[in-house]
Amino acid sequence: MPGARPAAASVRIRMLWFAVVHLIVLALAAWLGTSSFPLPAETWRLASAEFRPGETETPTRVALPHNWATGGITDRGGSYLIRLDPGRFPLADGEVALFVPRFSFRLEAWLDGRIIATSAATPSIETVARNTSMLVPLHRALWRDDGSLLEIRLESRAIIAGFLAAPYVGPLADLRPAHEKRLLLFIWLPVVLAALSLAMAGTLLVYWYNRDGEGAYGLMALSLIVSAVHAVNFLPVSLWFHPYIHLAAHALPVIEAPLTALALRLLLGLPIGWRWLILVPGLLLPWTVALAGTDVFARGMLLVGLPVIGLSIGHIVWIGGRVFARGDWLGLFLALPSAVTLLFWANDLLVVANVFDDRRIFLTRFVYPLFTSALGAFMILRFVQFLNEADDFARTLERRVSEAEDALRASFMRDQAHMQASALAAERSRLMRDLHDGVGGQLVSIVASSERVDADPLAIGAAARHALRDMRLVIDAMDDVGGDLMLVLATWRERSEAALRGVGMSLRWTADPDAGLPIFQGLRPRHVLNVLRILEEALTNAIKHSGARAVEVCLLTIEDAAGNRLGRIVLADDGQGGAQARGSGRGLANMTRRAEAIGARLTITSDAAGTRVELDIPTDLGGIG
Amino acid sequence: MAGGHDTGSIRILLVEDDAPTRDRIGAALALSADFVIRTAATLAEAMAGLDAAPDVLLTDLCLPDGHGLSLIRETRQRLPRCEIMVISVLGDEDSVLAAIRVGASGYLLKDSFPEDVARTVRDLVAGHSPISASIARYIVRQTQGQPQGQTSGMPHGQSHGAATIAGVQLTPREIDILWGIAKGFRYADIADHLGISRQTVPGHIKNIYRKLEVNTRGEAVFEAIQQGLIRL
Repeated sequence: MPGARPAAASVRIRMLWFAVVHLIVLALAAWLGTSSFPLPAETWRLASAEFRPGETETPTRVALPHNWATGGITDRGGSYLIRLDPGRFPLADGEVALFVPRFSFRLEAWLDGRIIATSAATPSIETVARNTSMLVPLHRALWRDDGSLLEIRLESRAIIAGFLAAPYVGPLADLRPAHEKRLLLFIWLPVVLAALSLAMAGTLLVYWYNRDGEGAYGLMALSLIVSAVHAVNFLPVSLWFHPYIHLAAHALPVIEAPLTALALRLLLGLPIGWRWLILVPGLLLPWTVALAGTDVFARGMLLVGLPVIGLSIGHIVWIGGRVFARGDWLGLFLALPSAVTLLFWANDLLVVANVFDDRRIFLTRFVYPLFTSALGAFMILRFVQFLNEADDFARTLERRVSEAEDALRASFMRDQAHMQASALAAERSRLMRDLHDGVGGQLVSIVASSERVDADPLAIGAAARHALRDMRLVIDAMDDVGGDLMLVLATWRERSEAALRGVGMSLRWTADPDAGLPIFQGLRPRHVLNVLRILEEALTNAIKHSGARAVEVCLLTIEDAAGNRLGRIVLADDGQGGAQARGSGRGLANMTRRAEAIGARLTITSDAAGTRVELDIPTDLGGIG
Repeated sequence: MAGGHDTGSIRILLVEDDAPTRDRIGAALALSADFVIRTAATLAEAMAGLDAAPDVLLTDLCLPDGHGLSLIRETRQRLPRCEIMVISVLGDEDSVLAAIRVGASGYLLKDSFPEDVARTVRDLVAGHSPISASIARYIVRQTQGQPQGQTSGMPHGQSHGAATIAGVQLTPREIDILWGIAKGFRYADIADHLGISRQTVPGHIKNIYRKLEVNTRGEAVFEAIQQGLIRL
């Protein structure tokens, strides 16, 4: 059921459709219900009979069909006397039979004072709502040549008034087809539909058992089973364990119809609340058979049972309308059979109330299995509809996911290409900056120096060596060391050692094997290059200006006042100090600027004992520089 | 280790195509009186120079008529006792390790100071295998394949089991030593830290070089191709 509520206008149009379709179908049903059921040829019809009610001796002529209620007959029994005149009935050839299309509730056929058939022999055909007909062969041997007297004795019961439709007496071959057609229509068709109900109940039970939270399917299955059991009620009484049970089973629809209505409410997510009370009459009625007698049961069925059934079926029509209003055509599946059943139910009420003089056809019972089967089919179709919706949803989801994946992949590739391009561009500009700061400038200086008239090869060599060293710094800085600055410094140490050795100085390298420098988070090439250039500048100063003989480099981890871990690199010489005073302000300013760029603190102390450069680098460099 | 000690002189074959560089290194070597230097500018000349059975081969890798690796391999086969060293501008790890795998023992920077050139060769002849921090790190990285720098200080005990790459198996101790070198610690510090004798550290390094060395010519080429050191 689509969750979105359709616009009011479209609901009105849809309900108009709903009403029109119902009117058409109900008209059709009314036409079908009132049209005559199979009957033999008029020739064999007995239009009237001598009727002797109760113990009365004097018969009166009555027209057939004869309804005791409208005819004012209050006795519990009566006899119809029909003289079978051999002149009228050409009985010479073939078998002859009596056909009673409709009667209630017990019929006995007597011929010339001898009983030849009784409905009591098969009590199940006495069930009023079955519309049972009776076919009684009248064997030739029983006939008197001057004509026989046929006596039809009828018993009424409780609220079911006596009724006899116009019987037929004629050749068996002429009467049998109508009887057989009625058997098919009123007995076998309902049984087939009951079987269908059972099959649907099985299907719904499987749904109910295998799916959590689908109690409606279980309820509907139960309802279908009850309906089928009720249909089996047509079977001989001997198959019911006790006549009481057979009788009580007539109350099953009073349970079944409300059960169906509740199951549908449950299925469609409508609240049930107090409405379960509608099950109570159906649960109580069967007990009245044993406790209060057949009459009370019959009255209960009439006064409470039938209204409950009508109310339930009417409610299902309403539910169907609701479903249809929401745009689900399955609502028709629900409402139409219910409406037809309701119409027939009304017919039956009128029949019971003897509004019709000559009509004793009960239609509800006839269409009821059709009705329950339609509801079962509705549930199954709805389940299938859900499955289809789930499939559609899954397919849509799959398509959307795949589209999203494609889009994501494309976007990812684009981003990646963009990132690569921008990383390359960033790398190029960084490299350019690094080379500009160092090698580039130095190479230009070398070119210029070499072009001077008084070119000094030693100065040029020193400058070139400097450029080479700086190029190596840039290369070292680009190495991925995973935050371990010591790995880069180890290489720097080798070159510095060589450089110091070249000028007769020595390098003392101190690093605690267990501590040394900490791991720097977010250590990037620009951080490394700044550290290396600071050290390089300090080392150059020590070589060129300090007059020192030894340089010591110390790597350690310290904690500042705030308790943060810092990496400390100390470069100290044993020269004469005076670093600040020497006016090499540009170098020192550069060092300070580089230290600031990576969030490090540079401390330079220079006195007679030597110059000491301390660089404290925070362990988390992410986002710095 | 090296031959030629009996005569008191060390025969050196220097292969370098750039004349000023060749002259500079040659001059640096010539400062030592016991060095007998022979130079070559091409692979062909160098191959011919092997006839003189040098004690030490110093070679550039990029030669006008071929690759220095083939010279090293040839030398290794013909003169197993010859000590071989690569001379390089930058000491880039890929080519240095490729040279090591065919039989070289480390490298010498082309702009090294004259004293350092002579000292390095002397150390080499004395049986020391020079190893730089970056080469040590590169070897560990190649054999272990684990991101380095996860601990501060010198690693110890975390090198469980033997690392393997392309058939090279280094012991945990050897890996610890390489780590120490990569981090810039002195041999003495490393030895103290690992609780081994200081004199054994160069031996371990020699062992590492031997392990890295591949044996046959075909194997060497295969290895080099596999590791992307030679591009076909």
